[in-house]
Amino acid sequence: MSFGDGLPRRRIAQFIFLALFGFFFLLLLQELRNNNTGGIVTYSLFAFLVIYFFFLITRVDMTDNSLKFFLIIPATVLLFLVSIFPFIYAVVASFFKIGGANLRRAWPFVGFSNYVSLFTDPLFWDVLARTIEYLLVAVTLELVIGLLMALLLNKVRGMFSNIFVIPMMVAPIAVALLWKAMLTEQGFINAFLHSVGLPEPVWLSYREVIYPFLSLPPFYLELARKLNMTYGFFAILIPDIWQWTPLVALFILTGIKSLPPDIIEAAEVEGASSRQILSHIILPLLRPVIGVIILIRVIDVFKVYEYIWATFREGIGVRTLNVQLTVLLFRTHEFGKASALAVLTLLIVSALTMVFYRTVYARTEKL
Amino acid sequence: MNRRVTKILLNLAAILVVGIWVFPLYLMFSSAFAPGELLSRSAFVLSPRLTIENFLFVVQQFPFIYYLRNSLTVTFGSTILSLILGCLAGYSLARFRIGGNTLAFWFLSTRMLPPAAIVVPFFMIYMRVGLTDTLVGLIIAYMVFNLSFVIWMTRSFFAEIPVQLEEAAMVDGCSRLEAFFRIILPLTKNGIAATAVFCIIFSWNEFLFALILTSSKQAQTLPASVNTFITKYWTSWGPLYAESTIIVIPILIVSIFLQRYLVRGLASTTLK
Repeated sequence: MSFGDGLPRRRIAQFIFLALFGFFFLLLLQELRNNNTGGIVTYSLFAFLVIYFFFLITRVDMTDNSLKFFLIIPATVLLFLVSIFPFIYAVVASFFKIGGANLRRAWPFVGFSNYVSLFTDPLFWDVLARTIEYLLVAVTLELVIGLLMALLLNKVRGMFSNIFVIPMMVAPIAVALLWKAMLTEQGFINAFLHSVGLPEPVWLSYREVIYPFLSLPPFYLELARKLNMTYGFFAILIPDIWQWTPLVALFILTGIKSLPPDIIEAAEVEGASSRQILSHIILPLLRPVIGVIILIRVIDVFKVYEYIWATFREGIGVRTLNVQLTVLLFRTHEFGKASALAVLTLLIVSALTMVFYRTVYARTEKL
Repeated sequence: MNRRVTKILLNLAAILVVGIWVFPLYLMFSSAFAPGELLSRSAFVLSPRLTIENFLFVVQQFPFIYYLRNSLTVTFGSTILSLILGCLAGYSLARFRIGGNTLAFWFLSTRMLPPAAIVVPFFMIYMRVGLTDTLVGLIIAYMVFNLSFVIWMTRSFFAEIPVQLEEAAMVDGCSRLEAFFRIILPLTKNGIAATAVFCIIFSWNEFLFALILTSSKQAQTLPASVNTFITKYWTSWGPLYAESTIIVIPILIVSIFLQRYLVRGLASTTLK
């Protein structure tokens, strides 16, 4: 065909790119005049992408050395802007007193007082205790149930394990609302307990779970109170367990499947019982896999928010770090203090990711 | 004989466990299609009578179309943007010695940060520059998770392709980039598609950023809009179930079709 016969193909591409760039640039100018930040950001992003691809496609003679930076820089800059920059911003903001009124104006410098008020606030220690409790209980239960599920799934057909992908894909907020509906007084769980003849607890309350502690000395009862073993606490645990135990199970299942089969066969030939095989061969060999999944879950549990929000909003009895952050942000508008807490949380999680890097990643990369 | 009995017992146990995990979802769907008067007495219905009145309520009484538009824009906008930038960066990381493992791990680690902590500075910055309640603001915020994920995944896909393929193409007169676009990308398209699906699922389901960085139908997404149905004193279960079903169904369909990739993806997301 004659299209592009007169003009070289590259010329046409250049023309299209420049026209597109001009188009976005004009839109950008208009938004600049309207002072509309959303539009400015959108169109500068488009204009940048057009210019970027223009250079990428027309500059074929780029050397590898400049190409590698050219390819990686946009992503790096963008990720820097959305992760490191906010972190630095939070560190800076945590030294100022910022409320709803002066957020957009000058901030008075207050030194470490945000951190001091954070650490002297008994609520902070409560929140930290709730977070750690949630972490420990959720990860332990998920690990135990997940391990049992993996051992079971290992013996049956693969179809079953495929079904377990579904819960992980469901929106956490939908899971949270669903379980809230199941656990209300008119919900399914209590209807089920009623029909079996068991007591129907008020799940969505801060009442302590005392049944298992009644027969124990009062010391334990007091301990249970201190540790906030309430029905509400279990009500926010259940959705997390429902949604993420399958991940643990599938992960361990992949681990079991990748064990060398001849070791297990050899043990069977030697006459080991299946329990001996489990406790002396499978579990010790699975230790690295279990370590990885524990780390992954610990890092993930730090993100839990929807389950608590849907069930209790900012409920004081089950307030974890994440909930406390949004309370400072939304209810009390103490942005300086929220930044201090955010910095602390980010440091804790960064320490965990460093552990992850040292133990898991550095080891797998060497192989 | 004894073996067969154990086999049957194990299968029964597996069916029971699967049942426990699937039943809540079944309950959600059946209640979403239940008539409203039944839901005023109980928070769940296993009703034989199906109506779509809850869905009609959600679609008509509620700026549903806006929320749907916002959800779709944000989901696909952030997925496409992170795929474009992420594939290029992933290629650079896979083929050239750049930044070493530390840089690659830094990309991954941003995905591990808790959104509730990241959202604090985001909220302050957005309030100052006026990006709250805009779609582009939300798209950029989702980059924290999507872009790092795409870079991480594509890096491992590209590293699996032998370098000789590209070198052969370059001997034949392609530039390196042409080799990348014509040979590497088509070879890894399945993996990239699975990565895209993960990004779509994540952005579609994301809740906290959407809740905090948006406030009106201008930019609020579907998950954040469920807020409307729960007040402190009253929860309207019917529309809530319907709305949850609308959020869940597309993802469920996608995950059933792409199950094979998802299992592999989930396993490699974290380990590789």
